[in-house]
Parts: sequence; C-alpha cells; structure tokens
Amino acid sequence: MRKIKVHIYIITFIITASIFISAFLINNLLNEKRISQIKNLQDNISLDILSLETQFDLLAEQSCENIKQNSILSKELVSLGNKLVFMEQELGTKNEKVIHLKKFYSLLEIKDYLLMKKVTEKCTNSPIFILYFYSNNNCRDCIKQGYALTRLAKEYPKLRIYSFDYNLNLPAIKTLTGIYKIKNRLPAIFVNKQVFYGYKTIDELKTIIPQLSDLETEFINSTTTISD
Amino acid sequence: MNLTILMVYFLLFFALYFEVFLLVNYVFETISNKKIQNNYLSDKNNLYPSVTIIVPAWNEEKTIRKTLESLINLNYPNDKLSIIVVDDGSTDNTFNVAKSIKNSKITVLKKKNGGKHSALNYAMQFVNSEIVGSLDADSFVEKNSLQLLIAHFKNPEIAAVTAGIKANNTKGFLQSIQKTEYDMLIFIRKAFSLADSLFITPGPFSLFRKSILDKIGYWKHAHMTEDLEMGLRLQKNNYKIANEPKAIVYTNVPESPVALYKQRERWAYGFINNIFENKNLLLNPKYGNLGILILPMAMLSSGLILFWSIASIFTLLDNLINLLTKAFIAGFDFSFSFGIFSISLSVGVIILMIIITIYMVSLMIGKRLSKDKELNLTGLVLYLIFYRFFVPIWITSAYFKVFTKKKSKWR
Repeated sequence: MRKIKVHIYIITFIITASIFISAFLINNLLNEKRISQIKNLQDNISLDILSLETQFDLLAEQSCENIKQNSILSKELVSLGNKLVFMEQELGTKNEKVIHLKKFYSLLEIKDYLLMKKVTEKCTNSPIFILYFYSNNNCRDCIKQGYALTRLAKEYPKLRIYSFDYNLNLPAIKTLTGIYKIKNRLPAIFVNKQVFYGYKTIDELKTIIPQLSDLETEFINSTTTISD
Repeated sequence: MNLTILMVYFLLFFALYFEVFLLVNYVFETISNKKIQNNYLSDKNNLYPSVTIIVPAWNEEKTIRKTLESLINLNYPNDKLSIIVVDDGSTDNTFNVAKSIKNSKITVLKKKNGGKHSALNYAMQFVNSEIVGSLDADSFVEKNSLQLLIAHFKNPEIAAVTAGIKANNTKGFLQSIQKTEYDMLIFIRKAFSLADSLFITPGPFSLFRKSILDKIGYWKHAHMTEDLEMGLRLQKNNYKIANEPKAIVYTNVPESPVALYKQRERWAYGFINNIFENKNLLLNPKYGNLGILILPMAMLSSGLILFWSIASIFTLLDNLINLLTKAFIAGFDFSFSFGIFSISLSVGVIILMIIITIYMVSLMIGKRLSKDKELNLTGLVLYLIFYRFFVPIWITSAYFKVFTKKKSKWR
C-alpha cells in the first residue's frame, strides 16, 4: 500500500476551488455591470418616452416639427437591442434577468410604436413602421432576417423597425400578435398592414416596401444586429 | 443551470484540479526530496554499473548510424557499456549499416520480423549487465545522458529511469507543433515521477534494473505499446520509475500527417487497451496517486480533449457560418464593439485561460529542468491553435478500433 499525502490533495482542492470561485465572481461582476448598463439605458429611454408622451399631450402647445425632432427610437433603442442580444448569448435565453430586461425592452418598443403612430396621424407625416417577429428556438432564417433588417435600418435611418421575440411570455406581445393576426411561422414581418412570413432578402424587402425609395438613404458599410 | 453546463463545470474542475495537483505536488516533492536526491546523485561510490543498451531496429538504415554513433560517444567507461543492435527482419540495409560501424561495444544481431517487443526480448538472452536500456533506432542521446540516468539507480528503490525526450526534426508545421508537445511532456513526466506515478518507460530511451525485469518478465506485444505496458507492470508490482529531464534524447517525429496520425492512433489504441487490461489499477488507493488520480485523469483526459476539441471545432464553424451569412446578406461589419459588452468572459472561458496558463508554466518549468533556453514561440502558437483539430481524429479512430476489435497498425 503506497502512502497518499492527503494534505497535497486538500491544498490542491483549496487552490482549485478558489480559482473556480474567483472565475464565477469575475463573471458575475462583469454580467452585473452589463445588466446595470442596460438598466440605465432602459431608464433613460423610458424617461424619454414619458417626456415625449407628455409633449404629445401638450401637442396643442407644441409644433409637430418639435415632436418629430425629439423622436427617441433609432440609435438608443437599437443599441439597447444589441446589448440584450449579447446578454442573451452570454447568460442564455432562459436567464431570468435577461428575460426581464427583454420584456421591458419590448414594452418600450411597443410604447414608442404607439406614440409614433399617434404622432404620424396628428402631424400627417408618413414614417415606415416594420414590426419584426422572430424566435430564438432553432430559427436560422430569423438570424438571417435580423442581418437583413439591420442592414436596411442602416441604409434608411428613418425606417422604424421594432423587433419582438414571438415566444417571450409578455401579454403585450400576445395582444400585438393577436391584433395583427401574426401566426407562429417565423420570421414574420408586419408592414403596410400586411404580414410576410419567411426570410426576405434586402431586395425583396425593398419591393415589399416601395415607400423606402422616398426615404433618405445613408450608406454605411457596417451593420449591427437588432435581434439575433 | 442545466445538466450539460453542470457536467462541463465538473469536467473543467477536474482538469484544473489535475493541473494544480501536478504543480503543488511538484513543489512539495522537489523541496522535500531535494536532500535525499542530492545525496544519491552526489554519492561517488559505485558510479558506473555495467549497462547494456538494446537498439531494436526495423528499416532504419537512414538513422541507425547516427543513433549508434551517439551511443558510442556517451560519457561512460568503455568496459561498462555494451550495445546490442537487433535487426528485426528489416527489408532495407539496416543490418549492413549497423555492421559497418566498427566498435568493440557493438554487437549486431538479426532475427525474423516479430515486432519491437520481440527484438528487445531476443537481445535479453545476451544481456549480463546490471542495467539494461532500450533506445529507438531513430533516436539520439546526448553525451552525458547515460551518466545522469544511471545516478538514479543509486537509490535502491528505483527500478527504471526515463529520459527527457525532445523532438529532433523541428522544421516544418507538424514538427514544430510536436516539438512544443514534447517540451510540455518534460514537466509532466517529472511531475508524474515525483507523484510516484510515471506509467510509461518511453521507447526512445529508458533504463531498467535487469534483476527486476528478470523477476517481472520482459516486454510484451501489448498492442504495440510495449513501453506503456512495461511502465504499468512495474507500477503494478510496486516498483519506482524515476525521470531525469536533464538526460536528453532526441527522437525523430513524424513529418507527414498520415505518419503522425498512424503513430498517435497506435498510442491511443494501446493506451485504451492497456488501461482496460489493467483496470484494477484505476481508483485503487493501493497504488497511491497513480490509482486514485493520475490514471483515472489520464483516462478521462482523452475524453476531455475529445470533448473540448469537438466543441471548439463546432463553435468555430458556427461562428464562421454566421460571419459568412452576415457578410453575404449585409456585408462585413467591423464596428461591433461596445466597451465592456464586447468582452466575452464566461466562467468556462476564464477557467480554460487559467488551464492554458498553467500549461505555459509547466512548459517553462520543463524547459528549465531540461536546461533548454530556446523558446519555440511559433510552435507554441501553432500548438495552441491547431493541436485540437488533430486530436479528435486519432482518439475517435482508436476508440472505434477498440470497440470494433480492429487492430491498429505500426505504420
């Protein structure tokens, strides 16, 4: 029987466990930082929306031009979307914190969408709204559609694209899909009061949305992802 | 946390535990053994026991001259050293090349081809020395290597001593990767020997106390990994195997992908079979560190390497497909960066980085132990990037052959 030096096993265990715990702590710290960044961004957007809503209520005393200039979607909301996608990849789509942030993000999108619709009616301008429904569950076409829409958003900065995870357990999304009769055949795009299912290339999207040619274009070589 | 992630963490923990254990044990044993070891190594009595080096050769006409010349040039008294070359039925000019080297220490024998183990055993009937060693006919020893190895036999508990093996031919993509791999193994072998768990007596150069081989028997076919089987048998019989990293032997490493694949598949096949045949060693506290940690981890590590290799290949492919899809649809995007968000540091990635760092430390210790000052940075980078793509090929193939009972081939 050979001698086993138990103390070496114990020291090894303590060192290994310490390394593991440190790795978890570092990872946790980074994720907490990311989540707090997202929360801050959401708070800011939420405040902006509230401010815009208030402005809208005071529309009688405001000019349409003033409101249009204060439209907050575009870069901030897109940036928030990008960060959420990253968190989904890091923490997984089933992570409670990610789901919570995503729900809040979806609500902000819906609020912005409704408000912008109201502004459009009142101020008689005609922005283009795209509601994009995707799934995180084995939907390769959704990934491709995300790339194509991101590209389109870059090309037409005034195009308003709102992306929603179809399977996110959020009553507001259920209501939205109910109102526009969006079926679970993803990816799905709601534009010009019509629903289009399946992957649509950039050229197909341009055919579907002929008003795009009236929008100002801004050619940018790089793109970012709105949703996965 | 789902079951797969838990399993990954569990495996990572064990991989890290193993690495840390080798380092911790190395530090403890080096400190506590230093005095005893120094006493043995500096003892001037009985400095030169008689030694016979057997050189089994099969179709080695290109290298055998250099091998034998390196043996002749060893710093060891002429009357204490014998060299026996066994031509194992070569179809080339090996026998004549060996015969052409005129030296009183060399005896050249010829027999029908029967495999390396049979060549070693054939020579044993002519061995009368205290110490017997084996040296592959494509390996070359440094002048002082024999003396350094022999010093360990002053410790009566030592049954065998293994050398520090380095790659001889290091120019070329595959050779450069293998050089780094051999350099890594220098520390591993030393750490294993300090944990009393060295279970291979490598073919390139190992020495044995003949009286012990007479007791436990000579070499076996052992799925063409007779050096592994011999190491395991010595351990099973509770004999100690030492390692001397300063005693350097250079060995020719495969230069073509096919030759490398065949060699590694044979090693993996032999390893799996020999471990299965000695499964009573596994998790057996009777065999100390070897039974409870080293062998189970060596077994688990083949699965771990396979898992890590396949996982990283799939991740890489997935990322590549996504990148190409994105480029095809929306053009290339190099602006995807948002500060802290662009740093992906999952627990798995952090642990892997630490494991790789420990590997680097091991490599450096190995270099220090073998007095090697040259840093093969290209080889290291190539090793870290490409080695994972090769490993699953031979491990999968070896497991497939084990389960389908097909035999592995020498070359």
